[in-house]
Amino acid sequence: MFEIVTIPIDSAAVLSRVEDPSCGGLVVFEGRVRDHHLGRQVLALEYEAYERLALTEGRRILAEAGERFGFHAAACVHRVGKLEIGDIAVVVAVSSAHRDAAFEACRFIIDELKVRVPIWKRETYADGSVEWTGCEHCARHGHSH
Amino acid sequence: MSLNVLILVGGRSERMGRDKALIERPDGSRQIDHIVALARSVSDNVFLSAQDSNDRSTGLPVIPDLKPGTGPLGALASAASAHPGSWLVLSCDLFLLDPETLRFLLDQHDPEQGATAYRNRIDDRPEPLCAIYEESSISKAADFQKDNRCVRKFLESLKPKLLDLPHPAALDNANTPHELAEAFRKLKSGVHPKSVQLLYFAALREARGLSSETVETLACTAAGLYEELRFRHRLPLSIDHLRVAINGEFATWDAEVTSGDEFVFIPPVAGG
Repeated sequence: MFEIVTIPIDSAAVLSRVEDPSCGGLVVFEGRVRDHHLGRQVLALEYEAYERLALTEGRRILAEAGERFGFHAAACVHRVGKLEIGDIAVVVAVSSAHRDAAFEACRFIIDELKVRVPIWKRETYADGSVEWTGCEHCARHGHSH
Repeated sequence: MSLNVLILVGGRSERMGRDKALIERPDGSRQIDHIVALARSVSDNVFLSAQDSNDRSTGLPVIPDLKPGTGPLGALASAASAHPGSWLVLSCDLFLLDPETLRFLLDQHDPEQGATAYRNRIDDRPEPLCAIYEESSISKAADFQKDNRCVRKFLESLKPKLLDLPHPAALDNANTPHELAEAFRKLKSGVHPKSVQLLYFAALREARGLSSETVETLACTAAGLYEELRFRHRLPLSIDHLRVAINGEFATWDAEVTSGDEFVFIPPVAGG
């Protein structure tokens, strides 16, 4: 289950979607908005997604994790829109019979999500500047002729 | 006085990673031979401008730069000091240049103007590397390049006679392997306008000032489409920093552009 939402995420509700009597290990990862980035104070933050492909790629990552680690169930919810410091941006929940698969799969899912799923983060800093994090500005300047 | 032709092979081709003059065209011929044949079809006085004085087995006389490293303007000044007259300058990387385009330039050539050139199909500025420069204009090149080495700005300063391209993509150049693949696709499958839907996100949405638009394009590949957009709107990200999605799924840069497709160019992501 991979979802993109615009409202606050309820971690307990995400966890409840993977619970099962057969599972002795449940791992939840919460990614929260922190107040600094590379030494700069962050005031506000906004996420944006290309939802159509983000859902496809997110579901693909969960399926890959299932094949690699053999868990019982996994769920991931990412929030987009304006978020405050301390808000939950993403939750990953994984359940499995034993803890190893749950830990490893949870780690795999959040790591892959960060580099593959088309979601972007725009940070506003205390000095008034704004930046798309992870966005590298043009190395090559000017026209191509 | 007959027209001289100067074929420029002097560029370092850093982004292509190899000598563009020696690239093999889809029909198996060398690019330099394609340009030489076109040049010979309009003039008997054809020269190469090559910094390394290597004639690339063309048998043509080579005019070395008097001041190496001064680009096309320096090459033009060097040619003018070697031979009097007007000069048709041709870049060797015009993979799509065709006889009709060259013929039309010569037919429209007006020696009373400082130069005769084509408008770029996207930004309407003059194309400096398939253009005719009059002798009186070239004498200004040495002075001009003291302050500015941009050959396009030099051509603009000459107030050239400007022509619309009979074949719009004829002067599309190729500086990277992606652009070469685009040029070859155009050679093989022809140049046809297509209408595609674009969605913009994050840094590209802000740079473009739009979330979506429908555009007409001559591009055959995803990379060619992005290069058109980047040139037209001065977009800040190069292909090396992007991925591309077509109709909701990741695609490769050589993927074909088809009318009705939805394209998204994906800046570096930062979820989580």
